[in-house]
Amino acid sequence: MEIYLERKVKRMEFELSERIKMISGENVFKCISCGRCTAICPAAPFMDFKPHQIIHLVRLNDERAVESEAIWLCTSCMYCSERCPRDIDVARVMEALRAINLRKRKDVVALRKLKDLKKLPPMALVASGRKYTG
Amino acid sequence: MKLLYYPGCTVKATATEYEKSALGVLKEFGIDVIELDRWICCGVYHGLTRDTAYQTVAPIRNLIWAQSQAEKLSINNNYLLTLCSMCYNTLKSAHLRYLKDENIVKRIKAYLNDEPEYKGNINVIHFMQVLKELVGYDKVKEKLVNNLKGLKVAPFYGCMLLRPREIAIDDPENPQMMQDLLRILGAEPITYPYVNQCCYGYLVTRRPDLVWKRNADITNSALERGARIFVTTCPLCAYNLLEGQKNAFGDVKLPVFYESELVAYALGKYEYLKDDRLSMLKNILDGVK
Ligand code: SF4
Ligand code: SF4
Repeated sequence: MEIYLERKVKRMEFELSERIKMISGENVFKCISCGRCTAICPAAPFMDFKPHQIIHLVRLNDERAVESEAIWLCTSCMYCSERCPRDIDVARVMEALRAINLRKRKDVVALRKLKDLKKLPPMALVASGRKYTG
Repeated sequence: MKLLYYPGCTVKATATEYEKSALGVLKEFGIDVIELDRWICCGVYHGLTRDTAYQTVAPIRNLIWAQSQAEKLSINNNYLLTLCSMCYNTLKSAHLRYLKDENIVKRIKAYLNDEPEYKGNINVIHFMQVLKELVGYDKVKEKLVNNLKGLKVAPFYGCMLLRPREIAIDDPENPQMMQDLLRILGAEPITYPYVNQCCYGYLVTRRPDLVWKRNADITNSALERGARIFVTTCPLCAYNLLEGQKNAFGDVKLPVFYESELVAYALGKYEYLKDDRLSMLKNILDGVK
């Protein structure tokens, strides 16, 4: 399904906001740029683009959203989604942006290179496999 | 009462003290916990993407096996107990997605071999909910033999029991379930800003530096308010809180316990605690008396 979608997207050249809508189900055009997502986001201080800016970039079909560091710092805590007054599931938009990267077979973490491999809770490893590898 | 139980990988590997104490505590309240004959990793995080089905397959298969075992053993309550917050979130979210999204039902079928269809009846329930709703805090109170008086505790819910709202076991913005139980045990829960915040979770494999910093901030906030220990129900929060302190401070200022360990102690059932955990808790309690 993913590969199929990837090809289809390439062929028909959907814009970024449409791709995000297809992958995440979220409509970023509902956003009113209130910044609440960023206010609550625990990772925002370290992000190159803050969550509300990511949403804005997607709205502008700006590929910098896909290439941002922010999407890899998002911890899927889902607090932004809880707080958004427009009911945008921002965490899903973040996930969709990661998915676009990962579906190009990109790995962001090399699991085999991790130190503490034995000590880490299995859930951290499985989540990393899910979130950081293609 | 019989309760089917889905353990998940982590409580069997790095959070064995949680499993031991939680199952022990439930036994004290007459709950007959039966581990599923067959289960696989829940997959951690049901898919947040809407266009894929495969991340929902593992949790749904687990629910199917629970359904089959319940039928075989004639257990009619449909509950499936989880201890790990992440397992709870993943299984519950997958279940809800299955109920709401016709497409997913069809697509999941394509992944399955000879499993029966999931009927959508399994009620995934977390340990904290069992204590509150099935056992009742009153019953817990009746059985207490030790009082945790004087022990200031920083409760740490983490994300997975509270968000998204549709699966939350308590008010996501102001949860009180853990605090209420702590008060019944005689302990004093502190109020601090991180109670329902994120420990940075799986970021620990990619940016441990940020995770250590984050958990040092959380610890400092709890320390400022006089806490002596953290209490959580999430094995990943427990790991990050502990390793964060070790890496940021060089030692552990606030030990991390599972809520079930405190309950076991308050019940006087020391056999459900690991020896090192028991002596650590005793030491701390001696210090606050
Ligand atoms: S909280 Fe919602 S509406 Fe406000 S900036 Fe974030 S995405 Fe937009
Ligand atoms: S889900 Fe990601 S973007 Fe949203 S608040 Fe949490 S870390 Fe920030």
